[in-house]
Amino acid sequence: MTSDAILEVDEVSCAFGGVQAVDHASLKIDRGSITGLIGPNGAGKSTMVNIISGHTKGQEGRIVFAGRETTGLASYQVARLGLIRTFQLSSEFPNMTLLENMLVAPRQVGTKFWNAMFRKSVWNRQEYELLERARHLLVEFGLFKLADEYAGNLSGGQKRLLEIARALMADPTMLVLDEPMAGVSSVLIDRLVDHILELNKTGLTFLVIEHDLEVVDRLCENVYVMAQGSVLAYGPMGELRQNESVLEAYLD
Amino acid sequence: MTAFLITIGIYFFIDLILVLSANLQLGLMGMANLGFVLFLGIGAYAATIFSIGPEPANSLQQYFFGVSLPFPLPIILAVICGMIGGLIVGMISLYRMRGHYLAIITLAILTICSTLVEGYPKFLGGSNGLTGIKQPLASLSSSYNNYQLIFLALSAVLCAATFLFCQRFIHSPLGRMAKAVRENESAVTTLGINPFRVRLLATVCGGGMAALSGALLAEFVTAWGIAPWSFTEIFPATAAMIIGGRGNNWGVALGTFMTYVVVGQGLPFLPGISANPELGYAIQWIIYGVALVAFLWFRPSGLLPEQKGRWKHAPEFVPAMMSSTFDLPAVATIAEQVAEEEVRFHD
Amino acid sequence: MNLFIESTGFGIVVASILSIAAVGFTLQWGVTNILNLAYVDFMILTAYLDYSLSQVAGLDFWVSAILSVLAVGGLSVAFNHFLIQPFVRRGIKFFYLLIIAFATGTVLQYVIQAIWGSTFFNISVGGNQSYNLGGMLLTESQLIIIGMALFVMVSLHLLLTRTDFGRSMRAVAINPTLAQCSGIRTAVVLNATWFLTGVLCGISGLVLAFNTSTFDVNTGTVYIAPILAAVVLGGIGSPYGAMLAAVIIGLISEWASAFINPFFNVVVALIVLVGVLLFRPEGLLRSLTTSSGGGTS
Repeated sequence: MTSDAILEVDEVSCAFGGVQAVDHASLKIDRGSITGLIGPNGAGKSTMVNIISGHTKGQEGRIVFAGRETTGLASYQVARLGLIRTFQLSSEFPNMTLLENMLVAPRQVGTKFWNAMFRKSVWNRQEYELLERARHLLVEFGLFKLADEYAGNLSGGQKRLLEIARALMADPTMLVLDEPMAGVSSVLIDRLVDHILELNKTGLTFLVIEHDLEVVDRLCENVYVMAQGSVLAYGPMGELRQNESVLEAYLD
Repeated sequence: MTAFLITIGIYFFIDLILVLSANLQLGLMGMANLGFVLFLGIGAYAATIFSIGPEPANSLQQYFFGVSLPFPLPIILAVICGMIGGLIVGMISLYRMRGHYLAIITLAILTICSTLVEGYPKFLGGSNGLTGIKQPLASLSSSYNNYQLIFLALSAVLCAATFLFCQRFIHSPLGRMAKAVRENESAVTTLGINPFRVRLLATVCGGGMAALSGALLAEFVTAWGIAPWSFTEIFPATAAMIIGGRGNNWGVALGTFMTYVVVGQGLPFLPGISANPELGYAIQWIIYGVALVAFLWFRPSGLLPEQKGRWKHAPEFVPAMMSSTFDLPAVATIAEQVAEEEVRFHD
Repeated sequence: MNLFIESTGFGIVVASILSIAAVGFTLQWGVTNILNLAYVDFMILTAYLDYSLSQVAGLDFWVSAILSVLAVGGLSVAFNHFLIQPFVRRGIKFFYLLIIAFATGTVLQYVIQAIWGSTFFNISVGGNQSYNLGGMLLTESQLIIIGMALFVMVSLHLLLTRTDFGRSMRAVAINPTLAQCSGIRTAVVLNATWFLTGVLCGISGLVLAFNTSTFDVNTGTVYIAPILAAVVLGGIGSPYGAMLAAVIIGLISEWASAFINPFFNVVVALIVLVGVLLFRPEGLLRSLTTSSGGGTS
């Protein structure tokens, strides 16, 4: 088991209109691990994820992902390095089918203007390869029969699955899941947890924000606890349950 | 009668190019680029400048390079100018503007340009406009009717080329990416896509296409002013796009036919209208407005809705599913597999 | 220097007209979240109605003015209630609402032309006697216009701060759902807001026509530019911002018109608009709806 860090967040801070959302927080995620990020509402978890993924600019601190400095990079640049995140609110492309949703994700030659317009033979071949992968993934996630449905017509849980499947199409080295279980039925939660564990076996690193502590228990080796913008504690769930300051933060 | 039909045909092709351009920016990309008629104007003035030559008698038009480039150069240059215009407008407005703000800023740029043209008549003819624009390929025929046919062929060919361009754009991975940017911008950035680049591309292409439409229009009418690219022209183009089906090029063609041809050209034939042109205009625009609202209420996707991306799922696919990491039990047909899914993944 | 003072005087008149128009527009946008591109067409419709009432039907000046303003107020409410709100309740994309408003404006233009024709008309208030106020040459008509603007501004301020309706309006602007939960009848407030802003629209249309020697449909359509400039500069939804911005833009545009090119008053307003959008889109003052902070959790 390697212990080199794939993601290092160093003393990051961010304030919005007088509210210090994140306050000198630091994280270190090991390659190949599943790490949790928990904390009460308003703790700054989503802001933290936004800063990591480049959707929000932090005002201080630095972020290093897979050996590259990503502080201040735009969100699409961070994603191209292999760090893909999902959103709390489902973010499927509603007026496109599931297959179309899946095909948007991977890097492909057909998105360059010249190729798209004048070299159809080149991207057409890649299209079929990507379709294969997409179909496989949809089957694995149990969504294949809806392949030609508009993504906007899916149920909440199905949209979650789609989002993760779609993220996988982009060949991530690390997946940051922002409350993946929110609003999902318990049967589907089990499936999702199994999916994540399976994917982790193939080497995919995970950072999971979750409120459902039972899920966090099943999934995560180690967990960060945040409250009021800073990192309170770090360790396995068992330890954290005994930690005074953690309990206080949650009960407060 | 045929001459009349030919003219309608020419206008149809010219207008369709413009509405296709609107469809690319407003329909496919979902941008609120309301000022797109600016590019129509740019194309028309560019074609004029590069073909009009020195005008000895008319003092308003003595100021150009004096070139009179032969066909097809003015049209090509017009398209290039339209693309540059799209690039400039895009760089200014697309980086941060969205929604209402994008609409306002493009309208503002449009109005600045038309006010400047009107305020400096020496520059581009002001509100009097420019006349005497050279017709392309005029040397091929001396008869009026034959020339109309030539122009019809020209506009039809260029319209078909534009149509094919738009089809290829929309049905390629690039078009898929554009749709995704429209659907959810933050989700798209998390997949490594830069939305600004796609929007800019669509605006540049849209600018070129609208400019082509303007160039053809100016060369057909041999005169050009401020009215054809004013505020009001935005409305029928967007109505045609919405009624026909935004995001669908065939829908756009149908919508253009319904608005510009059936209503626009057909209305003056009704009794009582030809006598009173102002009433005719009012009725025409009322029809556009009512049709627009009706479609937005009952059928917002338009007559021919945007096409889904569809691929056939070949039966040979089924055995390939055996190699999935989840060790699915062997199933003989897709139907069984789907039924299997239903049992296991019931949500 | 003379030209400067003179154009300042005109600037104040322009600012007066613009402030009434901009305040109405910004309240429509701020409270109901609609960018009403048909606003300027409602404005000029008021002038046409006033013309018909006062000069064709021969009614008293003030009677026809009040009637036409009230009519446009009513039409604005009808516009909101029958055309806008049904689509808003359906959750239509804002872009289509924009097109609907735009289409309504265009249709209105052509209907006006069909009814009244495309000739120019004239309505006016007061006399043509000029007064010299420290170098500014203003006619009686223009002084009346300035007075009307001041009256409208003060009344509006009192309405917004002292009355229940004003408070309800602000509440609905900030958070319609919450307002409804606290017992405010949102639909009523919305319609009342549209009536109020429709009245402001009508008054501004009248004074615009009073100030131009002759008017036609295009007098209105061109006016959307300075209105948008004032609204965006002042901060969308902020009536005080709109007033302040109207003064700024009124003065700048008249100076530009005097010193550069008569067409430049519109261009200057638009350049201000583009500049504000690019560099300070939130405008000068905060709107009625104070923005909430960033994300939580």
